[in-house]
Amino acid sequence: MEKSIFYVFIALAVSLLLGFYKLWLIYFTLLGILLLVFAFTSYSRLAVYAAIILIVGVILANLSWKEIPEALPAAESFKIEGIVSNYPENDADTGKFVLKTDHPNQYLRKVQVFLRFSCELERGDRIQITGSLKPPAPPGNPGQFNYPAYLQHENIFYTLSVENQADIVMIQPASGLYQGINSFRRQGVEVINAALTPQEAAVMLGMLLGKVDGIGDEQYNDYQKTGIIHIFSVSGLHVGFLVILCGWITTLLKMSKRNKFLFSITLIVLYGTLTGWPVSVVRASLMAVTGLAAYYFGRENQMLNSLGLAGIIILLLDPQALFKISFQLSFLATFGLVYIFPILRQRVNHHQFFWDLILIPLSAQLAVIPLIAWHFNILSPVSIVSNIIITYAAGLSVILGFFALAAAPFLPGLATLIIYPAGVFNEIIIQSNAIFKNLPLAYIWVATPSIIAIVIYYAGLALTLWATEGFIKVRYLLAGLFMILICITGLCLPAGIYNRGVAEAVFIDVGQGDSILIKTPQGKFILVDGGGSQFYDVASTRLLPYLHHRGIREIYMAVNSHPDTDHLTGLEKVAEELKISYLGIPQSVADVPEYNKIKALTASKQGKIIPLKQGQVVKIEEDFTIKVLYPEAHSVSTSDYNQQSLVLEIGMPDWSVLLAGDLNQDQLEEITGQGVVSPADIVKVPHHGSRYSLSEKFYCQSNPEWAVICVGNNNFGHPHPEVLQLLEEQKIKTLRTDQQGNIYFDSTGRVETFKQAPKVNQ
Amino acid sequence: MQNLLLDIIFPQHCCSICRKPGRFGTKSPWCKQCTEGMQELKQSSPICDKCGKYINGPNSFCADCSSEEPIFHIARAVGPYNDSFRIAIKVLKFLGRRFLSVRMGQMMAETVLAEQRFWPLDLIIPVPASKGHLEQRGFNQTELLANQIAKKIKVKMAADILKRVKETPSQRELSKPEREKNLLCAFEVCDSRRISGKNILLVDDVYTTGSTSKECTRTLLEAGAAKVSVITWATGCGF
Repeated sequence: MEKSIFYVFIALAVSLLLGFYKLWLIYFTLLGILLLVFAFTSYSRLAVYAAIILIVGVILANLSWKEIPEALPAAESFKIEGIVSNYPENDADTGKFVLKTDHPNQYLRKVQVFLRFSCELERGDRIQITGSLKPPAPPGNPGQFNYPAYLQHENIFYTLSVENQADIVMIQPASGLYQGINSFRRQGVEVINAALTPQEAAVMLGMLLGKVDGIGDEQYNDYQKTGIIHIFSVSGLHVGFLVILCGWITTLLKMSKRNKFLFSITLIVLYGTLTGWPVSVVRASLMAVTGLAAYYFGRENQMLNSLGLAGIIILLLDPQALFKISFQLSFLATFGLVYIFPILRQRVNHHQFFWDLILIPLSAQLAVIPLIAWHFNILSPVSIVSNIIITYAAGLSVILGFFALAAAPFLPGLATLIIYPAGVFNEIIIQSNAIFKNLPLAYIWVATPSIIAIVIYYAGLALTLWATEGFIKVRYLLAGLFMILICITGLCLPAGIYNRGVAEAVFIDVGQGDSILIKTPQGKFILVDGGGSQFYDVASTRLLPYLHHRGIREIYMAVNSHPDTDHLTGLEKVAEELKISYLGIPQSVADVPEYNKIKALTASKQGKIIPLKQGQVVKIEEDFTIKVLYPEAHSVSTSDYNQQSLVLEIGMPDWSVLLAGDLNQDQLEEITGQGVVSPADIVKVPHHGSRYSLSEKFYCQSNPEWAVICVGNNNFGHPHPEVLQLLEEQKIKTLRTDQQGNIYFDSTGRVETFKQAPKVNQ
Repeated sequence: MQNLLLDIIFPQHCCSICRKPGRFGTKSPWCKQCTEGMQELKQSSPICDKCGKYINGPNSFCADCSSEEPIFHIARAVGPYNDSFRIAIKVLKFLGRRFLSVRMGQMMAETVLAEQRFWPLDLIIPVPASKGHLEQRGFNQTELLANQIAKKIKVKMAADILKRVKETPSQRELSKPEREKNLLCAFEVCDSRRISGKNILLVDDVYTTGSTSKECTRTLLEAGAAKVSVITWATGCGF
């Protein structure tokens, strides 16, 4: 029995998963196999242990699991009392934290609080707070972040939005230990913020304390693309440095073995508390303590076992940690470092520093590729290079940061002096990341892999590792490598390769706004509008996650129906993130300033701009065209962009989609009068279902089977009941993105909705 | 109990000597082959009747003992300071794998029990470590071994009687006369009442020239001990 504790951890994780997903068939099959092993082989003791773990896991899973209830009633001006249970995150005008309460309702024991202002609260404060209570909004599109599930794994079921400072009443400020640690942390943060430029300080705080609220979303994404985001999740790197530091200090002070042990553990615990104990810190600290204990008790420390031990402890304390991205990444990356790295290193057989530099990030990367693809839709070859420089810079910076943190409360001047050189390292991180991000093939967007592909990848990895340990078993090694390669190749395939010969029309849920993705039979992507809102970044939260989920790297043609926010801003973001080969805009308003940004973005990536006017037919490929039905080249007035909305008929002779933008009733009457509207399979209801865009003739002439209303929360009353009534009278099956979420149609007649099955009016 | 728990938390997945994979623990820290190898080494050649060193040739005493008889009663070791025996003590000393001391101490106790001439015994005393080593390693391996022997043969152990009073450079690089000079008056007995008239078992890790053992023995005898015998984990090979 090798690696026994690690195996226990794996068994526990598997049994928890079976319990969480209620996979009873597999569960009882496993138990049955164990029974057979118990009865007929010499491994009966092992079988008993395994069975015990399986049973414990399932019991734990069921005890810890709390289903999201069907109906969670919302409440306005809801008052609740509780304690701030994490370090509040702040930026200029918002704040957020978790409130722990003792409310009788079991779903209100922990509440995620959002503030519309920057908060002065500290961890441990007891407060009374009033705000609007809502369950978190479920995702509308595949690939979109599932916030309710994320909160559910933290045992949070409600969010509370608070408008004013006056809605928070302090009952009792944090006291005792909390107060001490808060002020320790605050002083450190102040010194760093004062000494460094805002960007450098943000990076420093992210690395040192996992406090990432200073890092902009865009920069954060950039770090993700180059695969170095891990420097911001405090982990083994940091705790490892801390342990090394403890080693120096204790040896310098000539401490006894016992004091060395206690001193190091105290510092680790203190540091963990300063960071607020995220899972990665818990893991790293447990492994560090295990390592120190091995030294203290005169035992051999095996990293894989201490990883397993840390995993067992975390899962026993919080079985749902298994679902947390940070847990998964932390454990897999560490597995790569402590298990794959030594094997690779032995095989490369060059005990040179240079090889280690490459093999370390490579091992970690090998272990997490499918997971990164699954969660973030990114494959980042550059991470192997970027980690070489950046991890070292981060390490040096963090060591200086430790000293500064320790000195800050007593000698702020000294702390500032120490932190200055760290700024240089942070600058290196920021600048080199910008360079790495722009290297060719630095990263590619990949479609979310299927579970089967992930299983094949890890099976291949396991086979490869097994075949390389000891004597090389060539046949198995090749089989394993083949499995890995197949999966990586599969990831790299362009998105258009799937579902060949079939045209698709997907109405993406972008809230209040339009965004329609069309796939041609040959696999080209056309994006009509991109949603948008002045309140939040629709593209980054809804549109891009869906495009990334599909693995789309290039939009062949993007079309903006008219330059209103809820149609255009999302497209701008898409132009930034992906390549747009052709950009179609209505010729009548082609020169308005709203288009300057997207034109520049498209041109910067060698995209061409195509002004569209009535009567034009854009041939995308054989038998697949975009026909422009409206407006004419020159507009009468440009005051109301809705009147200038493009009306497009996209599709093939036997399948087409009619998109009418936000066109008003008058113009609809105009085009129906002209007789240019031909029958279509799917019609996008103009202007989010507004009563001012209601035209019976439009629906009579297009005679669609399906009507889609792209609509979200709004103050206009969209969709208006008259519109819904008309559609019902016309016996057109109507789907709404606010109810069904993402709606998928294809030319074979398949219809899929993401949120709920369509309620079809027959 | 503590060892059992530590065996669970820190399972030993390979033989401590040859690092062959398998399941090991405090009770059996090394593999079957290594155990057998030790048995073979033990019986590889005859030993000096006095100091226990491995010798070649027909004599019953080694060259050193023939020229000048040591002042201790007898000295014995579990095996020669070669191969597995050498690795085992190094792993214990330099890698700090203190769980090895359990099994090693037991084997030393078995050697003591097997040799009639050791008996009777009243007290076990480990050779004290130098301050430098103690700071560096954080433990004294001879004390750990003495502890295990005491448990097994049920004789009291006292680590606080014999003290090192002179900080001496490491013996390893020195020749025999240098070692003896190095160690002269390095030890002292704190409480001579506790050893007067006692039969003492002195525990050390390795016996090479015997300088350390001899110097300790001299100190103990001068303080009034009746008889001093020496047990070590490994011993050198002499002529």
